[in-house]
Amino acid sequence: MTQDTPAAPLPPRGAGALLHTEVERVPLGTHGGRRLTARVEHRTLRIALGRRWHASLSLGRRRPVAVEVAPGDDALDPYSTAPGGGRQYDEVAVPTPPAPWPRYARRVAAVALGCWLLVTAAGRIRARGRSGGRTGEAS
Amino acid sequence: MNTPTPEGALERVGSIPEHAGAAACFGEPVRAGDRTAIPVAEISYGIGFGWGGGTDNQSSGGGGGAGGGARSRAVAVIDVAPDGVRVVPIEDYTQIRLASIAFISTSTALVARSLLKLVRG
Repeated sequence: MTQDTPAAPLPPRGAGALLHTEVERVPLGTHGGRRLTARVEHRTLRIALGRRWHASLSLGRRRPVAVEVAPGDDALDPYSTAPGGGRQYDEVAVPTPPAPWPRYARRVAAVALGCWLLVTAAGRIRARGRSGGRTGEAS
Repeated sequence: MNTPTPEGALERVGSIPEHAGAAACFGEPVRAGDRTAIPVAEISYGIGFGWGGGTDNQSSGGGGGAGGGARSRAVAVIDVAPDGVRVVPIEDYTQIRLASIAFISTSTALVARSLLKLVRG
């Protein structure tokens, strides 16, 4: 009789995901007597999993969301941590037109789902009708 | 001192887009008379990497790889004029039309296939 050697223990299995959003402020300079500062949203999704192997995926998007417009001739308050250096500022939103291809993919998925539901429902109704007809003949 | 490992190198490569500055979303200001235009873009990226290894009675081995891509899409122009600052969105009508044509073709094919299935039972 042979004695099996004990297998080495496997490293622990793990998986994780992290969604992270941060906002960065980018100075765009002074133009036409106005100091412009942009707010950029940075969204990141990180997915990682592994055991003896490891796989990691990182998806990110940087999207400008607003522009702060402040008078350019004012001196910045060096002690202020508020946006615009503590001065009053106007905010102009940056609209992001939706990307056409993700919208296309969503619509095609909706049409495909609708067609599949229709065909499945029709198939079930037909099958029920046939089985009902057979029962009626038998009785 | 830490010894560099392939895993560490791959992780560093994967984090490059995250360390790229947000200033990459803005182009060089273009002046025309008393107006200034600043192009604005949205940047998306995806990076994946993996590695693994294994051993059997005779040998052991391992390997890894990484891949990724990034894309930038113009979304707006900041228009700085003497009477104020406004943001003008940019619509890519060529892409919108192409996506519409693709949607109409795909949905027609899907509906026709479903109707055929319904008629044939």
